[in-house]
Amino acid sequence: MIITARKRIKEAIAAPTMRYAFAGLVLVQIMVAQGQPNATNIVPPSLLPEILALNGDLETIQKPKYLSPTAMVASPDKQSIYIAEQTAKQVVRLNCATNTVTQTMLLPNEPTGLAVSKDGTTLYVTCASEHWPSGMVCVVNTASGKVQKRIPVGHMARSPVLSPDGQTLYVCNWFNNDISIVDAVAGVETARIPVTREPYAAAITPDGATLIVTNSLPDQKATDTGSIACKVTLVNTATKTVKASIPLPVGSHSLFGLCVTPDGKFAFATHLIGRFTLVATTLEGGWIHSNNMAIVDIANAKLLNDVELDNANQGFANPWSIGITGDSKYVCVLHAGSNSLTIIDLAQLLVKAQAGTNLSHDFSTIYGIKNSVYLTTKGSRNLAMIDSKAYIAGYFSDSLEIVTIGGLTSLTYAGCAIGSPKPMNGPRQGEFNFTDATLCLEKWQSCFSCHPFTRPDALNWTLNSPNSFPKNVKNMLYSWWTPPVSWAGKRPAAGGPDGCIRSGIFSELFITPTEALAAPLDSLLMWLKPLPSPRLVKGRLSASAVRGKVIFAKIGCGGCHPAPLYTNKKFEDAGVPDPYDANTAWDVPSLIEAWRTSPYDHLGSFNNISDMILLRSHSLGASSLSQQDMNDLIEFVSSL
Amino acid sequence: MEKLFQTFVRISAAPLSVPATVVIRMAAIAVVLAGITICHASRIDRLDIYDNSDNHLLFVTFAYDSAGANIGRSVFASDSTFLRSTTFQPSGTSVKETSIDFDANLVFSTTIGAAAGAKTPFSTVDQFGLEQFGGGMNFTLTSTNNYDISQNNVTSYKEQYQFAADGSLSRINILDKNGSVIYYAVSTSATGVTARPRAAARFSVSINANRGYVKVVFGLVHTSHVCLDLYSPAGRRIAALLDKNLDSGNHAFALDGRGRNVNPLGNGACICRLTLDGVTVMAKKIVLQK
Repeated sequence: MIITARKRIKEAIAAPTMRYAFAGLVLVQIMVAQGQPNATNIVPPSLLPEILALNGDLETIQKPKYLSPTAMVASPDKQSIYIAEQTAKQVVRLNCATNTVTQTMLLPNEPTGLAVSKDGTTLYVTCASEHWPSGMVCVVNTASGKVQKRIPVGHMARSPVLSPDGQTLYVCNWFNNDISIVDAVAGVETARIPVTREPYAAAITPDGATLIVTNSLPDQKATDTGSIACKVTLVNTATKTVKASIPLPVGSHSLFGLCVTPDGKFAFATHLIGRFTLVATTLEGGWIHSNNMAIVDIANAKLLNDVELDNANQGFANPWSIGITGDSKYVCVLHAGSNSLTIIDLAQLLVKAQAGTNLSHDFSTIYGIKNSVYLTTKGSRNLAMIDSKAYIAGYFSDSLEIVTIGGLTSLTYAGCAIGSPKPMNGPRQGEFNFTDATLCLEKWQSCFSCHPFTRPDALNWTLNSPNSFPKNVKNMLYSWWTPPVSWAGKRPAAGGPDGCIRSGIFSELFITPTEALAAPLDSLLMWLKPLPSPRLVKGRLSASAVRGKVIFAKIGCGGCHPAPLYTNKKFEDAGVPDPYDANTAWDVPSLIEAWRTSPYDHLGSFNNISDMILLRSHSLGASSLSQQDMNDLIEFVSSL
Repeated sequence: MEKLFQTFVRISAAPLSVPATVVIRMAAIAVVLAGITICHASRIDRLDIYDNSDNHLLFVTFAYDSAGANIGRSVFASDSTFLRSTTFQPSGTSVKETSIDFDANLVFSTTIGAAAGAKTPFSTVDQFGLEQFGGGMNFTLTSTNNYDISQNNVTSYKEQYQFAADGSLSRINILDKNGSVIYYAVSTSATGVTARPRAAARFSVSINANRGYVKVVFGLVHTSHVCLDLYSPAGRRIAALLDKNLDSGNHAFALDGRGRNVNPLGNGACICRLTLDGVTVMAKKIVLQK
């Protein structure tokens, strides 16, 4: 039905005068009003609220305006904390003396990161969203709260870092796979530095010589089981070149938190380790996922060690932000999944890390030199440190918790709201459940652990079910609408009693899939929307992609990948060699967001789209294409 | 009927007779005083949507057929990123609007009631049949050009249409339930004149002959981010006089005759541009002579 309607839409668009509109299967000529149209016909009362609501600006009952604090930074005078509230499209200033919000700064798009100038007069806010992914840096005057300038940067820009001299701003362009260098004085982007896939977090040494960047997903084939891992990249800021790319232990992914010690010698990066070579039969002891922190020796450009943040009998899932107390005594790691804070004695940690052995799966390493406590905030992803105080924001609770660290076990707590609480709607509750590891047996992992941001973790997993072999994690986008869900179609759909959601809760979180838990996840999957590709030019197909669209149709790609979802929802043999499984036909994946879901096929055997297309058994027609045609075809597929 | 306000500003020739180190000669330049008018009484080509901090969020362009009938619209982010395009299908007393993305995939469809002044419910359903707003959205005409926006019979927002003296739409406000403007939209005419609400009330350039300074005076109707720059005739920026947020009111700034590289500016013609929030609203041609 959708496909048929879509064809009609295309026909209508191709019509010479555009004087046709469409409803289902019927084309109807528009009734042309007599004379000049009047303004209220052109701008009906519904227009603005509809556009603003769809753009996430105007609040409706269905979509309340949550705050979703997503980044924080302390003012240089330590009197205030700036909090970026993602879904509210604003930054607020919290007065640390009174713990009250004293200023609200509106932004044109969702804030993703913050940096503040040394004199405290200027705030640099990276902004991007799924509605409008072209990134920008908003330069905000902290006195007036007004945006003074917008500096265009890359796709889904985030994590701005200001050089110590305040002259240069570095920004991670998450899906452009590069770093923007911005002249902070002139307010223009001057260069880009290509880095490893999906740069997510960044930090700079106190001397400004080295920029450290972590990436959120591995860039290898999933079949590279001996080496697949995320990396920490060191950038020489003088030469603007990558100095080193340091791989973490095999299976490392989701490097979301990063900080540098005040002496500039070490960088700490939080991450997960997926133990994907084991069959996922149990959780205990970090069997499926452990939650770790890498320690990088910056001067020697090497991984000093990697430590386990979990206890032997309990996980602290999804480590995210890191901070160091003002006296440099303690490292504070925030765990978004388990809603907890781990405080580690920094001096003793470095002594143990320099011992030389691999500590990435040794629970005893930091036992005795750390303390993990649970927080009242929900989805605690971000923290800002002022001396001995850790200010922690709850993404889902729209609240702050302030932990004063007097010692490993000498902690005092305070809290405050940063907005009026709003009941969670279905998708919001689903998003919270998806990231909440407190639901999981022993809090080892959340759904988010294997499906970061509901997208794949780029690893092959062998699930705990009969005749199960390694399979690459699929994108959850549109999975609700394209049954069957798994590669082999073992589950009929995402929802329902036998669906992937409930079986996943049972098999991977090891708990009973109650409807209170599972139904919001149904909503989440229904509501998932694609992120527009970085290949689009101002939101539209490039000239190359338009040509590629024609080739896509000409060589018959649409047979298995028909629009609009670019899957025929059937099992097809793509001819991918599989050493584990005699089966040859697998569920056809949607091509929407193919640009971000490498590696490809059911085994993750290819880490770029062109190799997948050129596989002769996958697309016979592609082998006869000229190089230009092939480039155009790749451009089109990468634009979906 | 088009009403394009054009102001021709001509500076007095008096300074030219003064033996000054810097002489400024003002050429006649057409200056559009923004924020005053819409060219056509009813046809609207573009709506620019701002929040109450004057952040430009979105703009909407409207398409018309040869008979002048509105046949669709497109929505863009403020950097011209295409978001969606919509076409219309009238049916009885309602209009069904179908929205598509860059690849002509159905994004959502909207149905609104067409009876002006009546309580007009609308719903927006995405390509999978999911109600985007949770249903129950209504518009009620409360007084002339004023609407209540409600959902499930709870009024959340108000909408206010403002018209110029010639009957053309000048501004639409979205207000909260207490009456404070939280978003607004201004329209653009067919000739491309942007009816921005922020405007410079005046803009004059003069010299202090004895000290060799160029003095620029202007007034702001609203708080704006102001850039004042000198450009060469080839379009290269040779001096930046001002780049900051300023409150409404009168402002005066002086240029000491030095360019961006701190070297003295040379003789010759240049353009002095006044830019408010990224939009050049006024420009004057001047001639520098030592």
